[in-house]
Amino acid sequence: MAVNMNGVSAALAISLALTLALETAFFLLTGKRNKKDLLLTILVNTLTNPVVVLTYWLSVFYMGWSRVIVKGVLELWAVLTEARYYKKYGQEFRRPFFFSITANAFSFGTGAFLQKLI
Amino acid sequence: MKKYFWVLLPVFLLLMPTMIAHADVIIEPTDEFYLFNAGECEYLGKSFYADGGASVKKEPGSDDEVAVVESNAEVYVYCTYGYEGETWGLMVEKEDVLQSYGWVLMDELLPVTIANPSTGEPHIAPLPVILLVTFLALGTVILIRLFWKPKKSGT
Repeated sequence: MAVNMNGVSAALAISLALTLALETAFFLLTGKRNKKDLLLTILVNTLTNPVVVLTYWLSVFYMGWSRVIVKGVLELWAVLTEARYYKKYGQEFRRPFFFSITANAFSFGTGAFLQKLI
Repeated sequence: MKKYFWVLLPVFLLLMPTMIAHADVIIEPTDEFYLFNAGECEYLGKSFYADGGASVKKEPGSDDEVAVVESNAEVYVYCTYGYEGETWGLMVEKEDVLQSYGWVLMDELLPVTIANPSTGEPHIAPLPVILLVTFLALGTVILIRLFWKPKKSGT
């Protein structure tokens, strides 16, 4: 099946922009102020989000795989990858895995709420 | 500000079991019927036009008309859903799939390519997008490795 890549590009751009805004907000809400950690958070999400969204589109719409399983695997990968980077390179991440999973949960919750509003 | 975070955190933690498969933001239409039946919808992502107009319903098989497609107007169908032997398509804004309009019988639509092949859907090979995402990811990894030193305890 052919996938409209204009739609994919738009989804990639919107998803990345929304994720970066929400994860930056979450970072600040947790009281963190370390600029290098904030930049690391932005870069780590720039690394994971487009990969997650593109792989999701290709897996579900090209390959016809189960969207629930694909999302589950991709999101688990994103949480673990982000946690690994926070742990390895972060300066003030005391609980990197916890931060990663709650940041992604915050991102989802607020994103879903915003989508409802739109 | 930190105290608000600790108030909000339990709410998100309670909601987490429903979020775990959806932690990043992935843009999909917000149509109510689609949200409940996404698993049975088949992605299409193509433009059509309504030869003689078409009626847009709230959901497949419904009599509740929410809009009308004018004759020869171009519409973008995000996905299709089979209902009692008929195929229904979810009409969305082409450049913003969050903006959905409703469901239309696919029998009332014709592919744009039939009317005018030059305006057909540009099914660009996914290679440029895959390459872009790959370079973005690699560039990010290189940037982090260049400008961040690993913590000794983390290695």
